[in-house]
Amino acid sequence: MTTLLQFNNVEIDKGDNLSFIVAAGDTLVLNVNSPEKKAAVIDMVLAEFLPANGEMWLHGQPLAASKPGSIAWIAAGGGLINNLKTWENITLPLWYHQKPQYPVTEEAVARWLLDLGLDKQEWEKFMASPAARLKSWERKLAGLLRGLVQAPKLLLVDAELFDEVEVSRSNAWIAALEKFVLADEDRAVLVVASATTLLPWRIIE
Amino acid sequence: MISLGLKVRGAHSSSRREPGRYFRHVAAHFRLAWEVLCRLPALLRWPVRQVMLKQLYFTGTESISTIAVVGFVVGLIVITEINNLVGRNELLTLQIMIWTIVRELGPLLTAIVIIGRSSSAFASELSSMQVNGEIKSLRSMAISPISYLVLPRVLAMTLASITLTFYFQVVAISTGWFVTALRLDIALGSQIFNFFEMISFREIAASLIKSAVFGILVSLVSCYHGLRRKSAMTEVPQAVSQAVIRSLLMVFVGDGIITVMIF
Repeated sequence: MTTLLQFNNVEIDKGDNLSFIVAAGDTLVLNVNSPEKKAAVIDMVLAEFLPANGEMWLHGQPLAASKPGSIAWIAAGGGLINNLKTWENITLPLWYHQKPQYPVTEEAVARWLLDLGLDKQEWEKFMASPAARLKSWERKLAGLLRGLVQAPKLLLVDAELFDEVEVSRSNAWIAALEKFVLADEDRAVLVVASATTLLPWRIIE
Repeated sequence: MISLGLKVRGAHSSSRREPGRYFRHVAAHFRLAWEVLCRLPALLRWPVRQVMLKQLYFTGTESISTIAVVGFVVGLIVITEINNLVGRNELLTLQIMIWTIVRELGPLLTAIVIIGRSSSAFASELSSMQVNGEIKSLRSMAISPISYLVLPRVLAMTLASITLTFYFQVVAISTGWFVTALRLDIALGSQIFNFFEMISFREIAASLIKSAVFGILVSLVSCYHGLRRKSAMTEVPQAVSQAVIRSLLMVFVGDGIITVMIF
């Protein structure tokens, strides 16, 4: 299996080093047992800052030099831009980096919305709603949808995304993430948790 | 006792560092301006153009009524004072109108209206985005906050400042012509003809330069204060008030420098 993401002795806290490998096709939960360490790991994977010690690789290249769009992050609260509508939030990363392609994007969004279990009658209202007016689960759903539509190599998910979400909805989201990984042989999902989680994937501690 | 000691020590050290901090702020403004300039090609990206159009609507179109009222009242005040001062001297009246409205009050008052409306809005919006983690979210999507947030705001405010200044001048001068025609019985056609005979290219250029410079200064200062590192919502009002005060300061200093340089 191709190694997608690799952490070699990366110092996430003083005296606390982390090593793990995420291979293509994996869906893993990384439990770091503290909110601060979780934030540190997410920031490092997003290349927000470099660790004092250790190496991080993506597809055999230093993580900091990886191609933009290789990693998509799904924040606990969705990570939406509040002054944009849901549709604008979802299309922002796509249309910022490429020419807008309405039919292709609409088709991809519709496909994922079906998988994520949102009632078809609610689609229009959901997409036209400003992000600031969405309910908590809707914000999470929009963030997840944005990540899926970006089709990155690695989808980095905050485990708190699944907190306080109805079980049926959360199950649909879990199934959608698994489908995302299976849709291409070069993809993986890494869920970062700060505490024990009930998510059904292999846990790295 | 310990915390009091630390607080006092912190206060001393911060006041000692004041001059250095001031120059760091100035340098950071120049750096931001340079980054905005370097990222001009980002305008080719559709979402950036969309933000620019939204900001143009917010800063430009939505300010039209305010500018119209301010322009009308200023035109009325200025012409009443001029008429009282110079009487039925048409040419001198028009010359003073050009000096006051075209050269000075047009760009300056438009900038003040823009500061009141948009500078505070820019600073509070960007500050809230930073506290809510939206800036980090943009970076995680490989979207530069300078390209996506600052560049369209700077361009929109500059364009809005130029067009609103022109609009202000049209309203204020037209008011002046009508009031003079009614009060002093001087033909409107003659006033318009003489006005365009008297106004020079230098005066139009000065007004244009001032309005463009004010737009750039106000937008950069507002975005700078909006994007400065913050950790809590309580820091947002501070950023807003600093953006407004510093924008006003920059506009007055800029006005002084341009006036001295050109005239």
